[in-house]
Amino acid sequence: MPLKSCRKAVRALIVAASCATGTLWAAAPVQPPPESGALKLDQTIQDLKEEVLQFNSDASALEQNSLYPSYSRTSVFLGVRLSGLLIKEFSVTFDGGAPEKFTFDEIESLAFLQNKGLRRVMRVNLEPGQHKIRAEFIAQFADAKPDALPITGNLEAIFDKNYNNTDLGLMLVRTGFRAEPSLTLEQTRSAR
Amino acid sequence: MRTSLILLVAALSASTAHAADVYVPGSKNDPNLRAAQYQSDEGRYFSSLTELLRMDSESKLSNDARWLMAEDYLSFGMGNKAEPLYRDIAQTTEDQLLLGRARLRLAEFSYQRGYLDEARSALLKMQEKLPKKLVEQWQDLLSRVLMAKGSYSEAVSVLTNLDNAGKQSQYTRYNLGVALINDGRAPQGRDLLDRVGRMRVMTLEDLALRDKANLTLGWHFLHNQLGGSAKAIFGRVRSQGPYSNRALLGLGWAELAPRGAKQEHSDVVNPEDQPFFSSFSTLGVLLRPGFVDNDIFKRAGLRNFRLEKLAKTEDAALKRALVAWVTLINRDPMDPAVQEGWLAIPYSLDKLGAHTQALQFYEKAVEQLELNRKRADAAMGSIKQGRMVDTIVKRDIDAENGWTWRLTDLPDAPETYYLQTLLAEHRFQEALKNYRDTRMLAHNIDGWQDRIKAMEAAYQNPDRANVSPDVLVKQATENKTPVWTDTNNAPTELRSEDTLSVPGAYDKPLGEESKATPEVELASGTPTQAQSDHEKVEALKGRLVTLQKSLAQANDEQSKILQTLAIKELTGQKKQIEKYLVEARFALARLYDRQMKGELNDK
Repeated sequence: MPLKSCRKAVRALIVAASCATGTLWAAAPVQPPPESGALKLDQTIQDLKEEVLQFNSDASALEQNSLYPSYSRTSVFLGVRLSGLLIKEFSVTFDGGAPEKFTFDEIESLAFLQNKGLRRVMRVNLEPGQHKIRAEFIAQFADAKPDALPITGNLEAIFDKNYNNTDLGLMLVRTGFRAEPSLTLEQTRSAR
Repeated sequence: MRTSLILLVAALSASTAHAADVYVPGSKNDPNLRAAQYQSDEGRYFSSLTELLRMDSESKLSNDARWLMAEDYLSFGMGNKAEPLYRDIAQTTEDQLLLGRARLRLAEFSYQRGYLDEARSALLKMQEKLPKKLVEQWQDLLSRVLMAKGSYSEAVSVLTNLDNAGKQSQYTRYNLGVALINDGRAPQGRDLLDRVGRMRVMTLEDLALRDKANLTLGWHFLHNQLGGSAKAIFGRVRSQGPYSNRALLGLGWAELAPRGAKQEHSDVVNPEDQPFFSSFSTLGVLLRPGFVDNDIFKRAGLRNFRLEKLAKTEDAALKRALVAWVTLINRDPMDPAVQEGWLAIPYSLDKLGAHTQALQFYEKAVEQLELNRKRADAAMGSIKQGRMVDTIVKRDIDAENGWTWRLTDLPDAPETYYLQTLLAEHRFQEALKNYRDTRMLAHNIDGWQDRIKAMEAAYQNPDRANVSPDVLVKQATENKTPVWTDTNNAPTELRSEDTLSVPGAYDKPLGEESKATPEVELASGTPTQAQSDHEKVEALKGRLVTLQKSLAQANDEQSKILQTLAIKELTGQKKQIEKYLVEARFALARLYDRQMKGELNDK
């Protein structure tokens, strides 16, 4: 191994080890605590974070209302309800239009499996009335052999866009004991 | 006809979604909450919080949503906001384990950020209702907080009062060992460190901890003139690892230090304790007989010599010390241990009477140290120009993982080599996280400039006004049971009416019954809530400018704090290099002087 890369590897290890354990550097000599100025600035930054968050919340609510008025707003959510299934690609199209395509890296694929979260993949404006949705996916199980063919599938469905914000949930599930993973469509609305 | 038929068949073959399920906003089934959960799971705490705050402004959040919010606040480095949320949830939740974990995480945040008193007080407060499963974690964290405050005796009490040593992690045992030594109970401390230094390893982290324990114990023995014990301990450290250079330095000194008394091991038998065995190459291997005897002087660049005045054992010890140090000086010259190695060799040679060889090595040492002083100056320049911090956080600038962000490796810049220890300390890491966060937030706010322009364009779009009134009425009445009725108790139908006069155009006199002026109470001042969307956008623009300024200022201040820390550390190291240089030059002058007087007659 060349000296430089060896040195870099060791350096990476020092940082990784100390960060991962959190205690390695806590021993004698004990780390000096930060100065009071640093703590004061930390407080200021925590307050600033709250202001920026509030700004983002207000601005995104306005943005949503201006770009996607609620009578036409249609949100598409994607979820994976199959343990170990990593979704790689996904596309969705309405009424035969151009498909919107999405690819997911490992962190994104894993996030689907952690706490039954849903990813809001898109928002579109659709007139109230009947619409056709088509979605396709490419996925693979985490423990699949490297040469295993990817799992693919698609869904076509008709849904009624009502006069209020419409939420469409596309779920990757297994509909039967031996069934292949497939997509299902769930339409939900707020009780408010 | 044929086309219509195909369309009909296609329409029938496509499945139809069931009637929409209804969810309570902010509840577990709200897809927006699940979307916030997804964002949190992929480490986008800022986006998740933005979604949750928007939901919070529209409806009451469920406990699930509030819990997620607290977790996100903490992960994004906002302990101040997380703490009251956890406290509120604690009033209603039954899950003490979940709550306990959250409180420990909050205390860990306070500890790492440097709020030691707050961390200590929070940990002591939770002791009463502490779930059994969290006892060891609690002990570990509280002991670290106490050690950081310098309260070693209290830390030892926390770790030993419950008599649960068997359940404690190796990290906790290591900390207990250090606390015991610092508290004046060296034999017990040594015993614990010795056990950690012989532990069975499963991961790279374990290896690092084992090396660290051996390094700490080895230097402790060396400081107490127990060279024999130190030598064996240093020999356990891996030859390539984060602690190997310091151990090599110590190993050399241990060879020349007084052996000291043999150390007794504790009588307590722990089944996990193993005689030391490692499949990794350790420093002890360096001192194998053939390696020492063959050509150590050649490897050191010295002519082979034998000091007549030295006893055979001293000569052998010197050779073994040289093996360690010659290996050391061929390593990273920016490591302070390596720099010390350059001085250790001639110092020992001189002490042992090999003056000519010492003189040669001092000359080489001065050359190396001068080079290092120049490097340190260059590093200082880079830090002062703010390049160092920027280089470190260059990657993943938009990552939203706040407090959970970890610096996993260092860029190949000269200053980072000098600051490795500082870079791993909490005070630097946490400041670095804040610096990253303020940059990310500034980037986010800058991005809103274009988004606000797009919003304004959308409001001015002439097509936007063409929403049919029928659509708006249907929107308002959809899924709602009318509560209003007419005189016949039949529901009043709400419909759009486009034949009414425009406001102000109705000029017929009002009936008598309408003449009475209704009493109207006007609120004083301008209503703050009745802002149009346009006004809200204008207000956003003002807030954006203010935030840009505040973030730039905070980022600048944080950068200065990081610079000050780095410069202080580097100045200390530069002073050390200069001290070594003075020592080397003084020794050289002394040796030249003696050479001129003809006193250097080593054989």
